[in-house]
Amino acid sequence: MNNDVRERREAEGLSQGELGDAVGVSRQTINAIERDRYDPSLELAFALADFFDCRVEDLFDPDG
Amino acid sequence: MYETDDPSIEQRTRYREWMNRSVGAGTLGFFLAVAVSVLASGPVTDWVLFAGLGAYYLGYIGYLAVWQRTGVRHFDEREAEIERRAASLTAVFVVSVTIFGLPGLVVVQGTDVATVPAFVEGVVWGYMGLVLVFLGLYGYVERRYS
Repeated sequence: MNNDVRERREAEGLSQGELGDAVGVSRQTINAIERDRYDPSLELAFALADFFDCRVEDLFDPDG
Repeated sequence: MYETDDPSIEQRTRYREWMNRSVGAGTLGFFLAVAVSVLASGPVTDWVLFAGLGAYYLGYIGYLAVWQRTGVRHFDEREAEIERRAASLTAVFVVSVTIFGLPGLVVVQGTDVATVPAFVEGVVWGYMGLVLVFLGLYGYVERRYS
């Protein structure tokens, strides 16, 4: 599933570790999401959307 | 900033360090006791071995205690998913060996076509036992999600 996590994280000036810490997962998990190697749970998807102050569907594209 | 009820990564890392140290200390204690019992002699070595075994069990009990008492996830969801997938593949392997191996073992032993090594027989029946445990736990977990 395509997503804008990397773009939004870099726009915020955060490292993967800092974003992971903010939403309660490891740096490796953020890295895997950004590389489309892992689809997050609903809970984590909502946490990321909440963090970036956007909707889940703005962050993740299920058709990607 | 997004707030989560879960402990921070630092806390989780610290809990995992405690768990690893507990297991490490217990395992080291056991190996030291075995080493002492090999090098020393006399009845005291039995007590050293029991002490090492106790340290080993305590180490793992400490691991479980930290895991259960801290009440937090020590592994994040991606790591949990990795565990689930690895466990699933292991189950497929064990079930496959049992499905093909057990009837073959029974036929080979019944017809005396060949002598099955004892360890192969042990593996197949051991896997059969694991399959029964898996089926029992599957039913238990299924009921919890129904």
